[in-house]
Amino acid sequence: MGFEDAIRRSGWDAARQREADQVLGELRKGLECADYPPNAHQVYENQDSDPLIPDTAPPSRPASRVDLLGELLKGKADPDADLKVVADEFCRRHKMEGPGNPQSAGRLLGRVWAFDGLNKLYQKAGRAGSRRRPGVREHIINRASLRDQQDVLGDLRLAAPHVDAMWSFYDPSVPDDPLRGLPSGRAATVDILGLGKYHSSKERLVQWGHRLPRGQKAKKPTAWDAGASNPFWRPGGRTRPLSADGGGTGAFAAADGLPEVVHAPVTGRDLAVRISFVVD
Amino acid sequence: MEEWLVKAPTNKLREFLRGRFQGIGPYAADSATREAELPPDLPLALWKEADDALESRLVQATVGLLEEIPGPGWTSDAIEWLCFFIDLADIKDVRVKDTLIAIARRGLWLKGTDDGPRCHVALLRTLLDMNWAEEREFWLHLPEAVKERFPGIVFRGLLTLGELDAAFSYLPEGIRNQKHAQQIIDVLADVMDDADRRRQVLEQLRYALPQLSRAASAHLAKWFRIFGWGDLAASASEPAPLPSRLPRPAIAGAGLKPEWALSA
Repeated sequence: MGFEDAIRRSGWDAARQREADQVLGELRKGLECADYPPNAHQVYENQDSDPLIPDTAPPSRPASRVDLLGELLKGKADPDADLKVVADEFCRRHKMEGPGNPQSAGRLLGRVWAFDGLNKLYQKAGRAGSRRRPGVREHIINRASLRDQQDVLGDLRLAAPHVDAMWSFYDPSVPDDPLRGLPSGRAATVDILGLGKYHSSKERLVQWGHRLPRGQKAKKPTAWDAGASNPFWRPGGRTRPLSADGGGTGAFAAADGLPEVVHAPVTGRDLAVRISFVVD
Repeated sequence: MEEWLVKAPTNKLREFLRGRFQGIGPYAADSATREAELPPDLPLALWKEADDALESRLVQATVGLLEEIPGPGWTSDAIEWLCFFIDLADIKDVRVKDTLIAIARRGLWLKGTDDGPRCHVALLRTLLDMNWAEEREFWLHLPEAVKERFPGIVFRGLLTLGELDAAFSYLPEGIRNQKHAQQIIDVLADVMDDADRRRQVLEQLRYALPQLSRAASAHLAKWFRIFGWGDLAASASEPAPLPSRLPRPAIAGAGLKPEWALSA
């Protein structure tokens, strides 16, 4: 398993295999994350080792490593092409292709996101107020009940409009409230969920629980879901606490992460645990 | 910030912004990640760090984008993100404002886009945030297709002009359901932290509320209560007043000034 095996099993002739070997070296370099000291090549290694990703073209999804290599070889024909960009676009086209996650069925799912993100979606949503002022949005989080939040957010998708995947976690021991499984405080929440991008920022975060609409299924995330620039993710279907790398609060081990899934975005009506600020 | 972006010429910036807002191609935001970045995030960060030269190139790129709408890839979502970027970046450049005004006056986005009323309202919200309020007749005579779905924009336009009576008199005609009422709440949220303005709003709503549908007035009353803005239910249960053009001493005496302008 892995990119090298994928090349060997690709069925390509020797010359193309050599070319693919070369492109692999460039991909590894292109996916480098200099600002992730534990391992600058983590993203590459995730794509190389994720057991959910097949080496060669499978009869069904998810897309294979050979598929990515094929795209990279095609991209290389263009002297201006940036292989990182090609890999990035490939990942975007292959979201939500992992297998279903039956353990998550029927559970409430949790999500932690930047308040600013939710606020922007609300502000943009075709209403008449000024987009610069957050007044109502904070009131909605601070003062409204779950039912009122469902009512006022209504059909608002809690994710960007052009996006078809949303990340959520759940706690197997508390099926009816995913937030109860979170440690208390912003730092510990960011830590256990492996939200490295929020670790060094002071962004306010919000959390909520939601129920998937009937017929919608959650899937196990693959390295394609994680994208070409998130070194904080690991294959295996659980969040990886920042503490496991010596970051975060230092309170958690890799095994302490929570199971996570990807699924089609939900709307305000699917809320099941009210949106609240993550506070210290 | 990536170096190529800081040094990018206008045409490359335009391509970058277009990709971001349209969510297509290599420059689209990767919003399907855990942290779910949104389309305007990176352009805003770029704008905040920009020196004069980069700022000028960004402005030119933005004007270029505005002028290519309606056009391929410019869905109502993409248009809203572009307008949103202009709002949040607080671009004051006269070239952007003039371009927007020309588009608004000619109603250019009402036709040829996938959702004309929504795109037109996106544009008007941006202009209102730039303190452009045209005149009373402009708001009252917006196309019916716009007023039907977005009566809040009429209300906000009139309020921004300081036409308080006209704004609240418009409510019984414009607000017909909960969604409409929510637009009014969103607009009022910009002024309700000010005790004086809040008092005036309550006074005005006392007259308007009994003339609204039950669903709309209940929605307004509920959110006024949740936000701690006052008890509208008590006002609504009072005997209905009267013609909407009644003199309103409390308001008249308040000496309304242009500082009602919501985006000032």
